[in-house]
Amino acid sequence: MKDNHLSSKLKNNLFYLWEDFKWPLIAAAVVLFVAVYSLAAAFGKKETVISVMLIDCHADASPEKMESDFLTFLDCDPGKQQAEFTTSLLFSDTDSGSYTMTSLSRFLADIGSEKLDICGMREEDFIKYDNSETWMDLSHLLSADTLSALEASLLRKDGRVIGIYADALPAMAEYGCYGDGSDRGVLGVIYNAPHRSAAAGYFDFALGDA
Amino acid sequence: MAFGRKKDDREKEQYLALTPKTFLLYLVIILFCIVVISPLVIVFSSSLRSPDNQTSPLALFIEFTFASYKRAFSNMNYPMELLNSIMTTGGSVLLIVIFSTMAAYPIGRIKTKLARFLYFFFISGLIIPSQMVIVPIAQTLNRLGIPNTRFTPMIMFVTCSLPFSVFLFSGFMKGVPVEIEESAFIDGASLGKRFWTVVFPLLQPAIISCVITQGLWIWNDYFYPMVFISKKAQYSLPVGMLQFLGDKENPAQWNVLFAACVLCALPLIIVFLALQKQFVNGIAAGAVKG
Repeated sequence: MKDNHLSSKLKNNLFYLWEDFKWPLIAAAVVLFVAVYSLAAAFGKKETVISVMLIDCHADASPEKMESDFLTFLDCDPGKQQAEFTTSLLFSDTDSGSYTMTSLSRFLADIGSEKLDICGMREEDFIKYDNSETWMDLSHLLSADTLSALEASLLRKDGRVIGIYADALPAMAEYGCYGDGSDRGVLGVIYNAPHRSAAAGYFDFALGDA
Repeated sequence: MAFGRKKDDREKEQYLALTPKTFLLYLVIILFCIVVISPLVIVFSSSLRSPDNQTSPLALFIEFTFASYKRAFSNMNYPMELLNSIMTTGGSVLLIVIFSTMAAYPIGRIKTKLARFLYFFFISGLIIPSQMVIVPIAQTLNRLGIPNTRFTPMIMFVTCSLPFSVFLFSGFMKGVPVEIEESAFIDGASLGKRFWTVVFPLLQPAIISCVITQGLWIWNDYFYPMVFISKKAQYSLPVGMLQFLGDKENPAQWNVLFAACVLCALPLIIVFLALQKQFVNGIAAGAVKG
């Protein structure tokens, strides 16, 4: 009898709690779900070995294919490690101003949050964005052998080697990047790139040293 | 009774009489309707063509095929993107309503300098374009170790919506009679209970306005998902739709793009049709009360 009374009281209390506070309870559940999801994503996150952004590249290959090829080149475990390739951003080759603005925001946000290692874009844009020395001097990063192999395809500015023309990299041709014959594409390493050795490795990969 | 009917008829005749003034008014209304409806008709008509049909979009309904829909559906990974859009929009709108009503409650009720300062503090958020602060925000999220998941844009949606929503709710809160709350207080209701059971239901018209305006914006936005999401599996509908926009090398696939637009708008149209009565009632009530 007493048990019945207690359980009905509990039921009533739960009923009133739900009736009075259902919206804050639902909101708390949503916040909790997002927090748990984000925590799980943070702990189960794969290690990023490199982040590459190819702007205005018109690639024929998918970012997944590029990732898989590079991870195989580095002999990485795709279950634990990942390479981020972004190929859908456009600066010059779209008439949509808001898309250009969004692409630029993504580019700047990735640099600001120290995520981006290598970025490719049209030569004119590439030189324009070096005004604040966005690109690292590749002579400090690449080996002498690589530099000499690419001697004719290096983009220099103020005595620094800031980029490599994409048409000198066989991998870019294989993926169909920057192959339309208009303004040439250039690849460079961001000044605050977090994975510098992998970035150097990417140029070896792109040169076809695999 | 007979006199009344005559009066009604007379009013009807007066109402329907085509004077130059009413003719001009009808003309303006019809032109306005054409301007508003014609892009939608063109979009729908083009979406029903095959992807390679390059005929002028002004030639309406010359072909009826779902080939463009099929291509849009398969290339976009529609079910996953729809789920992402629903989760992001639903979750964000819910949090916006809860947080902004809770913030607006003291701002609208308490008449102190601090409350006034808080009001202007929230309002000041309206004058800062979020695109301007995206870089420091991305830096902060990265330093906090918040990973880029399908829910990361929600943080931005909620924070960017708060200024407008608090402004909306605090204005509306002033119209809610304080006497109702006082009678609940006399009946022994706590602060939380007074807010959730007395004030919150009375804010329904403002809540509906907020849900419609902010929900539409979040559903259609591709800026934050594009900045914070890298993986295709986490894209929302508008981001998935962008692949058909084309560029200088690969021109836009207009028919597929229009089919994708219809697929993107379809869930919203269904929701609006299902909740039309509540939306219209809410807005009408808001027009009188607000």
